[in-house]
Amino acid sequence: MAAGEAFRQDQIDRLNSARLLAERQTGIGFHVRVGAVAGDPKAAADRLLGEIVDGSPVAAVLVLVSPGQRFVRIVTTAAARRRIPDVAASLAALSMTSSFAVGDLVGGIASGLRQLADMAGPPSVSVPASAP
Amino acid sequence: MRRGARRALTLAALTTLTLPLFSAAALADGGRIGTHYDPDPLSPLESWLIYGGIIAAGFLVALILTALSGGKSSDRYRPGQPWEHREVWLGGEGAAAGAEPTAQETAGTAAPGSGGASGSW
Repeated sequence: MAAGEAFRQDQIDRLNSARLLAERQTGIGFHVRVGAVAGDPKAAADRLLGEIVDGSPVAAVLVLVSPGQRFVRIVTTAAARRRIPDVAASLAALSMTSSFAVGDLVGGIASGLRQLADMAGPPSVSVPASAP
Repeated sequence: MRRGARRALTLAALTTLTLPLFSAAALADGGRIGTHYDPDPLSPLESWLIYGGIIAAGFLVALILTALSGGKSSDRYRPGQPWEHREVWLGGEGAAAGAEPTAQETAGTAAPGSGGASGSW
């Protein structure tokens, strides 16, 4: 791993595979950000997801992980929330923090994405597709 | 890396201390060990190689495996340590990465109907 890089290339590939698989499985746009957050992490997560969807009513999920602050936040848009209720997101967050607590960032994120995708299930016709 | 070197040194020290102990049996028999199929006594060198060499080889393998895995584990995230890496985006790179929001921006930024959950460790 090069200095300054959070993950090795194989870890990035694993995370990307998990994210793309979740997107293909559900039709929901999954986004992951790992890094420090300035200010309130919850507000930052809401703001970042708002910038990603840019006001469009797409189903999208942002997983924000701040290892330094030991904080993870899963944010869902209104369309995504209909398929991933807050209780389901809480379970995924719990699963992720269990892995993070033993130092497994990559495994935690990958399993969290898989769990969120399983809860959302396959896309239905009424749910707007995520922006590419 | 320093952690890996410390582990390797510990294993080396343990090997040095325990090797004579384990191989003492081989030296103590005086080379009078034979088998049903080969009743000729083993030479002290053969005895040492069987009873001490196998153990030494085991320690050597453990030592090599520890030294090889030591470098990788130093990169592993450990809870509580400061995170000094650049932020990593997987999808959604269009968001203003790293931009610090003002107090006005952070107030009520959640879109209506949005949800989610948080966790800490």
